[in-house]
Amino acid sequence: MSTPFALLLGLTLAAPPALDTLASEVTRQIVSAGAVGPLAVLVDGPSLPLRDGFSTLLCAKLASARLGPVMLEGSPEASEMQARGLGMSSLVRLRLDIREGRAWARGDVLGTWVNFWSGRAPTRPPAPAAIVLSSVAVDATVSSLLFEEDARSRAGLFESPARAWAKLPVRTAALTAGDVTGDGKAELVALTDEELVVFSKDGSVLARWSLEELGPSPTPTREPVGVLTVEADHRIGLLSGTHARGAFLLYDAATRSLREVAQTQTLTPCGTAVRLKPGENIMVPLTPGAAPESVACSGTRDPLLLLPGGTARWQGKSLPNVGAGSTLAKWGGQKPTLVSSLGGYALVTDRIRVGNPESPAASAPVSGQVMQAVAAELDGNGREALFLGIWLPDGTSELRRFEWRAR
Amino acid sequence: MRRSAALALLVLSAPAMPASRAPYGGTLRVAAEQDDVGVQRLLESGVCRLFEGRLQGVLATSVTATDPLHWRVKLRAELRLPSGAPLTASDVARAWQRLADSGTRSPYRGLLAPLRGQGASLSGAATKPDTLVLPLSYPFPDFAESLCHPALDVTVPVDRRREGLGPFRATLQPHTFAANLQYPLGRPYPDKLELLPGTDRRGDAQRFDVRLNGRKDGARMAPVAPLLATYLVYREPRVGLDFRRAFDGAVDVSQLAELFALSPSAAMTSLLPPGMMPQRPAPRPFASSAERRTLTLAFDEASPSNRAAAERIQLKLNERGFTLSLHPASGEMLRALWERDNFDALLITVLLPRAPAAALAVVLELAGRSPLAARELPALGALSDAAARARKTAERATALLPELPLIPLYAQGWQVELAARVHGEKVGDDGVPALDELFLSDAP
Repeated sequence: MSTPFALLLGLTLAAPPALDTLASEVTRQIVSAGAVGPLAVLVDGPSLPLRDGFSTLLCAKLASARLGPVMLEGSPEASEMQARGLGMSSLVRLRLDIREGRAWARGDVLGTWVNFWSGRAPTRPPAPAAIVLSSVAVDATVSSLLFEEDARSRAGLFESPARAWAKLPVRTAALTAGDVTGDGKAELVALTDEELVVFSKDGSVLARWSLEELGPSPTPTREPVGVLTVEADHRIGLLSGTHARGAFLLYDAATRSLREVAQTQTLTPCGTAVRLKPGENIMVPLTPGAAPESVACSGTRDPLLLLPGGTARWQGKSLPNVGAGSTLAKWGGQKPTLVSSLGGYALVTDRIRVGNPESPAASAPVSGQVMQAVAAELDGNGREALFLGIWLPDGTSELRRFEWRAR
Repeated sequence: MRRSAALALLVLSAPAMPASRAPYGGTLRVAAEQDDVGVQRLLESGVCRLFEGRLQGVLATSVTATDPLHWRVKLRAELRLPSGAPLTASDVARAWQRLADSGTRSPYRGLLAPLRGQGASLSGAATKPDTLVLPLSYPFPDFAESLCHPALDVTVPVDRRREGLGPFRATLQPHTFAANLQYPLGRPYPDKLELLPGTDRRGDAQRFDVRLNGRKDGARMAPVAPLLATYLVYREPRVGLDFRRAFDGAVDVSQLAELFALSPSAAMTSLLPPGMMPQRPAPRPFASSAERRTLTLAFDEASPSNRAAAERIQLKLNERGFTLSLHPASGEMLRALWERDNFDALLITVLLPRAPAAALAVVLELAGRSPLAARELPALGALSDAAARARKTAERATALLPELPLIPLYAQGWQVELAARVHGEKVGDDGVPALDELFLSDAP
């Protein structure tokens, strides 16, 4: 991948006059509104190339005005929380439009002063608060960027559907996939502190099982922690950090329900027998070895170990800055690819990255914090999709589905 | 590729935090007074708490209305205190009974006001070792929330002290607490907690990880629901009939909230805080005269806000003929003065429940008008719609204010200052900081 800053620099030097003028005027209005840095910037537009070109110019000018711009991606509604989560002081939300031969930038600038202890009261400060509105006559460069075919629309990481695939009222403890029903196709299985839920390929609930029978753990973990497996004989294995014991469950197609068939204190994800360390969020292998927070494998004998401290071990290498929501996926060949979330605590916005975390081949923003990830083929179409378990700030969680489209 | 440029900026701008699962371990140093509710909740719990938008069971698995006049509290199985003693439904009933007893005076008795016999029914409430059934005199939909109030946290007498079941437990060392690994909501992340009382007054800023209500300006403060409400309570026979008028004419409560109370704070010109009811326009200062007399104004010496407010009130009322002698008192002594009606005037701060109708009950107790609660609450509880209940409560609070011997001053939230290595900051829906959610990024 090219160095991003070189691209930025290149665009800056080749600044198209109309967009440059528009970016200058918008910057002037933002400064006049009394915005203070660091400043979050969200730009939406009719085409990605136009949007990105304008964003690049605008950020350069805001940086010159010492406003410390940080680009956001996502919806305007979510951007305020994103900005607060990143510790931004102000937020600019802009929409680019082309109408009647002019390029319009319109939106607002608002204060997002909030400390990290915002609780459930995300108050807004009285200033800055202003409308931003400016336009310039469209020139050839703007037209070109507007209609330029965007190669990225046909390749990369895409959320599908572009909404939560499933929602859960509490946070997820573990996520896995496997053939639970015995029909030769995989189902998605999610574990919370309260129940285990099996999802069919369209995100509807196939079966759920209350964990109440497992009894409370004498040393429960503070946050949801668990291990899930789907065995070759279609049994679901589960361990929960808040319950006294684990269990093996079997799906009964006639009643569309799960029943416990055995108790357990250990499971064997990715070929390594583990138990949960009482009262903590790590697994303890029964044979000497590293104690990971979770493991992932993709049909290989070399699992990805997600270790405490935001590091991972895979293929004999130690990888820094790998978040809890990371896994291996078979995309673009038989060799597994690392898919990783960002490292960070209680993120309002996370990011999922494909390939080397330091220079990913593709990435996509995710609202909330990605805490579990699993790649699975539920559709029987030969392509694995990525399923993410995402913790939201309100204590609930979502499952979201991403697809990889090769270039 | 240009999209990646935005990503790079985003990542570079994000705080450098390597992990995404919170680590366990380390010692959390908390600069606060031991009687702060935020600290109290580290050592004891109630049957429930209001957290992340829902009523979350702590000692209980559920708090449910079996019908409008009966609430059932089902406790978790095999609850044990840190000393090993079991905690049963009878213990919970006895703990609440202390508050409900007619011999006890506490504004928080208002929380139990809807109970049949105002708490006399608690003696038979424990129907099973893990179940309490609470009969009410009238429907009161906010009753479950009231049971989550910190004043109803459960403590049990053990060896001439009272012990609770909280995320931390006492050790042999004073002000040092160890993680309670059996805490039903999960052990806290730090292994140990050190309480540093009086840190603010010593100005020892380097030693703490968390400081509660330490100073007016802090980098990481808490704009939470302001439910810590301070009132000036007075005894009319002692202060005279013209005291209230003189106060209204002399003291601008907006100024008290803005300049003298630690933020986050909001002026109260109505009986209940902003957020619960609209605030009436503050009376503009006006000339008034009164016969010169000398009164005592007691306040909590540990509260810098109340001290500053008391000094301001002293100054302003002096201009109107009242010589106020300030009486700094410990929290315990202040409560004793109030309980015995042995005061001219005092500043007292209460943590109001979030539900307006329940808050009104607490304020009526504070004003010494508990019979009014029995008169007012049934009509409020009869309204099943929460918004309608809040509107009606606001209406009744406005009507009652002139006849109550108290003056609302300001409502505050907690101000919390955190060191850079502390994460997991959360606050309960009742405004109390959930210090048990904190963790240390450099925990071993």
